[in-house]
Amino acid sequence: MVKHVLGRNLNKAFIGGKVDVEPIVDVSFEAVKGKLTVFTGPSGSGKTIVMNIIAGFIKPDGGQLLFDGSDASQWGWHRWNRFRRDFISYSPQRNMFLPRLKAIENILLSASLRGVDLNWARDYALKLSAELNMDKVLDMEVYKLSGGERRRLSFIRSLLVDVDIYLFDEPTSNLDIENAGKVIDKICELVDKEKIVIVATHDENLVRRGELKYIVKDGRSIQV
Amino acid sequence: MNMNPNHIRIFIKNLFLNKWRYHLKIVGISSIILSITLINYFILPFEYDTLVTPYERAGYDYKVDLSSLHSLFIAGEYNVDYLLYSLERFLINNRDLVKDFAVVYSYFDGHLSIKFISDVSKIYLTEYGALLDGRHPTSEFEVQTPPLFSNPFISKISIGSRIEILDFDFEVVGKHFFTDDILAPMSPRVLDNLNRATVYEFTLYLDVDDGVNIKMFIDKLIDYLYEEGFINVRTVSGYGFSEAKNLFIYNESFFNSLALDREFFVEANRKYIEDKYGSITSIRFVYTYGSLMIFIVYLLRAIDTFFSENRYSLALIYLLGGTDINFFLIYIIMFSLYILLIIPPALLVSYGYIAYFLKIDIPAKYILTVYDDLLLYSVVITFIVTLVYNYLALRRRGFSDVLLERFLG
Repeated sequence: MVKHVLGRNLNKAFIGGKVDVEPIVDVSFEAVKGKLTVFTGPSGSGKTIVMNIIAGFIKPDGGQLLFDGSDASQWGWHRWNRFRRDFISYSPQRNMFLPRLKAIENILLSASLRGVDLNWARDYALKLSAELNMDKVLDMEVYKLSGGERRRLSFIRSLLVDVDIYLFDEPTSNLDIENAGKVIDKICELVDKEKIVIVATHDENLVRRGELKYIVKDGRSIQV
Repeated sequence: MNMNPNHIRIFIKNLFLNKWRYHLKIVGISSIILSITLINYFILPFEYDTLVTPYERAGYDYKVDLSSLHSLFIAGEYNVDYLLYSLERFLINNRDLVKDFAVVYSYFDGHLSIKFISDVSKIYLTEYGALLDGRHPTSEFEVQTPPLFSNPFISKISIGSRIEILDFDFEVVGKHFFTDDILAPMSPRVLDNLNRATVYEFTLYLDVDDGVNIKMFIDKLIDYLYEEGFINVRTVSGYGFSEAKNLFIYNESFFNSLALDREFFVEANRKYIEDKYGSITSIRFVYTYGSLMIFIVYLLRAIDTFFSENRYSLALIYLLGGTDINFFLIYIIMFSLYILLIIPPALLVSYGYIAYFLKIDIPAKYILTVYDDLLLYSVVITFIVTLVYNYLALRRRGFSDVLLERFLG
């Protein structure tokens, strides 16, 4: 069980890539179970890159990323894959789905990959969908859904697995106030369950609920 | 941690349907490249088996005099195809080379067809099967020059001539010397190497009354041919395959006593094979293994491109908790689908090209005995090389650029 995540002086430069990305210069943070950790800051400041570093998709050039004291920046491909499978649930900023699959198939894919009982997962998905006003679109192909619906779908998918670390990148973007409020409530429920929850957001309502807050600006983090 | 099979199916379907034209192109081009490999690969072992193996297995030499034809094999069936097939199986299974003279006849609806065949051998019958398969368009009406028959008979065989035997008029409706447009391209070389041990046949077609006792007629015909000096063999006759087969078990020591230069033929033919295939500069070697390499590289690049273009989907799999097991599973299923789609047309194209364009009479059943060697070898090599390449490429590239493009682009 992971209880503590620590980032120390993380940095990452992107040279020669297809996308013009501002570098991460010096980001440090701490996330513990039972507390909501929030990254906020202007667009393009590097929040998403930090989230991807925590999820193990981007390897930092320097600094340390410690999960209960184990430096993950030194881990290899296999260990990261297993760790992600066993301990991390990630809802990225952009909605990543297989567009030809139905909404329910997309969210069950995650449960299926992690070996979660599909009957339970389906029931739980229906319950969450009802709570987030998504129950009527579960049988639709994803490409037919609106931006807000895809956002909630991604959120539901990340909740279907019981892990120690939850990463949400802009979970309330494209959502109306009512649905954004429901999503924030769900995030807080995870915190109450003693999970490590890390959020990157512009949403003031969500930032206010954070207990460990960091502003990321020009590739540097400042604890608030 | 396995993906639910249903989701694998949907996932793969999603990947394939998105770009079905691309996959169709890959399958088509791969099939053509693989068929080039198979064409040469099929010919190679067949030539070896035709040119070398029989000599290696034989206890006596082919180079025998006409006088060695000491028995006459007569077998009648309504279905001459089946008879010859049985004869061929018998010879192949016995691993013996048979120097003999066979007469087979078929009778159907008042039409009597009599085939006189000399030098019945595994080689000959294998090739002869091609005639029966209908691959030789003129086989129905031909009389072939038979040197084992004496000159008076030969001189009478010309197109349009009439031969009267036992009150029957034979009309020669066609004549054909046994040359390479009937046999496989390597057969003339076989004939050259065999020197006088060539294979000849001629066929007589005639109408008979239903009242004629066919077996008795054949006996009398053979007697007549012998007494008139048309053929140089003494008759020993049997009817039906079982009976005739026993007559085929001749005095082996007789043939052994005729053995001449067996080693010479083995070495000559082996050298011939070596020249064609044994060197990396030989054309067949280059065709076979060059095209095999192109096939492997092409499929490797195709699958690599496929995964590169679908890295978003793969990234999603890993993002959702998938591991390398899931990648391997997806790879295996995708590769298997490709192979299943590529091999059947490649087999058909290669066999069709051999049979109908090169006119090499390699029996289909022969191909079925050798194709799996190369295909298994090719598929396993391609599978491993492509898997390693793609997996290393996946690890080297990671997903960061895909994710960043998705997130920030």
